This record gives sequence, C-alpha cells and structure tokens, in this order.
Amino acid sequence: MRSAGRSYGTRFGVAFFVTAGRLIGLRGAYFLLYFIVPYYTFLRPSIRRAAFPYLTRRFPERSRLGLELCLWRQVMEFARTMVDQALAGITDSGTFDLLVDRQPELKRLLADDHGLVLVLAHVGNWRSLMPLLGISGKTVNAILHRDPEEPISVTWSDPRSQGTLNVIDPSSPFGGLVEAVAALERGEIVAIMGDRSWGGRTVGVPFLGGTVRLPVSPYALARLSGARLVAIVSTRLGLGRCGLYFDEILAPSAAEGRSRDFERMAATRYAAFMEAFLRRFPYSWFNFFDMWDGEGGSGRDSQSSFVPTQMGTSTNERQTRREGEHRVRGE
Amino acid sequence: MCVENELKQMILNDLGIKDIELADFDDNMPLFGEGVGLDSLDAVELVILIQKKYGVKIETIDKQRDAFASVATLAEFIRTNRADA
Repeated sequence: MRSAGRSYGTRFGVAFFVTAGRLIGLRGAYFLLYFIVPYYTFLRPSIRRAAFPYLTRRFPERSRLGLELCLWRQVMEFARTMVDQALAGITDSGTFDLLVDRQPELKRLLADDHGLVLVLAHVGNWRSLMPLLGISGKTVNAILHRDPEEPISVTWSDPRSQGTLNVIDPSSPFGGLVEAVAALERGEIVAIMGDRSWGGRTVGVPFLGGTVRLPVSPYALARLSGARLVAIVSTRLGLGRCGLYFDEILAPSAAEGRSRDFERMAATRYAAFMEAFLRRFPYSWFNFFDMWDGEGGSGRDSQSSFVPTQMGTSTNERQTRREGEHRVRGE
Repeated sequence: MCVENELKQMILNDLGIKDIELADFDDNMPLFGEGVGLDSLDAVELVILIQKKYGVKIETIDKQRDAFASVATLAEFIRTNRADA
C-alpha cells in the first residue's frame, strides 16, 4: 500500500483560518467550515473516491445515504482538526489540552532507559502529540516527509516541551534508518508513521475486514535496537481538547532471537490497535486513499523515497525471499 | 578469514540473502540496486552487525555511504576504522 500522499489544505487556507480564529475565535472558525465543507464533501470527486473505501468497510451496514452522512462527518472532523492545528499548538497562539489515557503508564514508557519507537498514524490530531512527547525531556526524532506544499509544519511550539525535536528525512540514504537506530540506542524516542508506506518493505495484515500492506520499518527499528514499541494516536475531543491513546505493541523481549516474524506480529497488533481506536472514533481517520487496493498484493510499492540517493535507484519490484514481506529492489 | 569473506558470509547468512551463491558473490558487486539487492533495512542490520563484530560505530550514513557501495569498499572502511586499527 503506497500513500497517494496528497495534502488537502493550502497555505492560504491555513492563513485564512488563523486570521479568522484570531478575530472571531475557534467557535467562529468552526462555523465558517459549514460554508466550505459541503464543497469538499459533495462536489470534490477525488475526495469522495478516496474516502469511501474506508467508510464502506467501517460502516458496512449503512445505506448509500447513511454513508453520505458519514462522509460529511468525516470531512467535517478533518476540517476541524486542520483548524485546530492551524490555531493551536502549531502556531504560537496556544496549546491543546491533552487528556491522556493511562497517563502513569505513558510516563513510565517515556522515562524508560530503552529507546522508544512511537508508531503514529494519520488519524486525529497527530501533530498535537509532538509537544507532549517533548515533555519527556528526551530528544524526539521524527521520521517525516517534509512536503514543501504542506501548509502546516511540525514544530515544537508548546512551552511545556523540554526535549529537542529532530526531523529525520526518510529520503536521506537508507531512509534515515541508520540515524534512527543510533538514536534508539542512545535511549531517545523515534516517531514514525505506521499506516502509510512510501516505498520499502511492507507486510500484509488484516484490517477492517480486508488486508492492507503496512511498512515494516517501525518494527524492524525496534527489533534491531531493542527499543520499546508503542502505538500512539491523538484525536480531537472537543474545542481545544485532544485525547491521547496508546498501547505497547510488543515488549522488547519479544524481539529476542531476531525473528522476522516479530515484524508481522507487531504490524498485526498495530492494525488491531487502530481498529479499536476507529471503533471509538470512526471519523478521525484521515487516510484519504484506498488502502485495500489490491488487497495487500504487490505492485504498488515501487516508488520509494527510501531509495538511498546514490546507491541504486532501480525500482523494479521483486517479491522478497522472506515470506509475506515485499520489498523494492534497490531500496 | 579475510574481512571480505566475513562480510559476504554475514550478508548471505545473517541478512538471509538467498539469491546469490558465495562463489558468485564478487567483491565489487554493488550491494544495493541491481547487485546484491539489499534495501535500507538490510543496511541498518549490516551496520549493527559490523558494529558488533568489528567495533566500528556508524551513527550517520551521510559521510560513510560510499563505503557501502560494495564488499570491497566496506572491507576497506572497516580495516581503516576498526577499534584495533
């Protein structure tokens, strides 16, 4: 599964809502969305095409009309989250109030001397996680594509943050994974998206009644470094409030023996965690592309931004020697 | 055993590369792309194996990426940087 990688939103849109938010407040900015969201919901075929594969799987019992209502709620949730990100936490205008599920356990994990791999997802307000992670006082290494067109960037803007944010570019040699392992061995945090593959090795796992291919790199990083592995998401709960939910996917001891089964097992547990989250917050899913396209088959992972810049750039795909994994030759 | 052969054994056995026989594994064969066909995760694993076996620590790949061109270049890099060099 390779992401379409499309950003909905523009710099102009962000600037508009930042200005509107400052003038009329967050509620006022939300109100303006009622004039914009109908266009994106009902008149943008690309969004409709991209959203329905998820909605039909999440709500298989719904009629066509019911799915239209779900689409409206999903796009509205996405728009409100974008406004939140534009107005709070990302800009200097404020911070999110985060309600942390099982806070003592999260603090224990963040304080652990092991490295920590945090597997994020394009759900809810994932950017609101960054300031929280900074509270740990550790360096957070975020493996993130820097899209020059991205209207909202990831920065530390929360005054509570004590750590350092280091963005690792996955288009650097070996996908930045050598730097990531070194950081984990120093006991730092590495944050990486687990729900989109931008090329590279993937593994097929069950998700919402079908099979999707998820990247194996988050789990390989944990396996190779002995780091803890935690899935973590954040979603909008209301005006200026976010909820944070997490689960330790597998303990480091599960990686002993360096079995590659660890990666499949971990990806399966991550998908199960995401399903549980989406049962509770179904409209917080912001992957607007068909993850199930091909039902986990190969042939879509050939464009790789993990390609080392001077170490072979062939994109001929082959099925890996390792059962169940796919890789890009020359990645 | 020379470093070149040790590296080849490491790549074939520890990284699970089955497409190439040891006898066909030339020292100058590209490790990535159309050569041996390693990928970024293999590279990370190789870095860790090299660190354990030879004490050569690689924390950033920017300056050392040329060393990963082939077994020959990697062996030379290890000989130059190993702890007992």
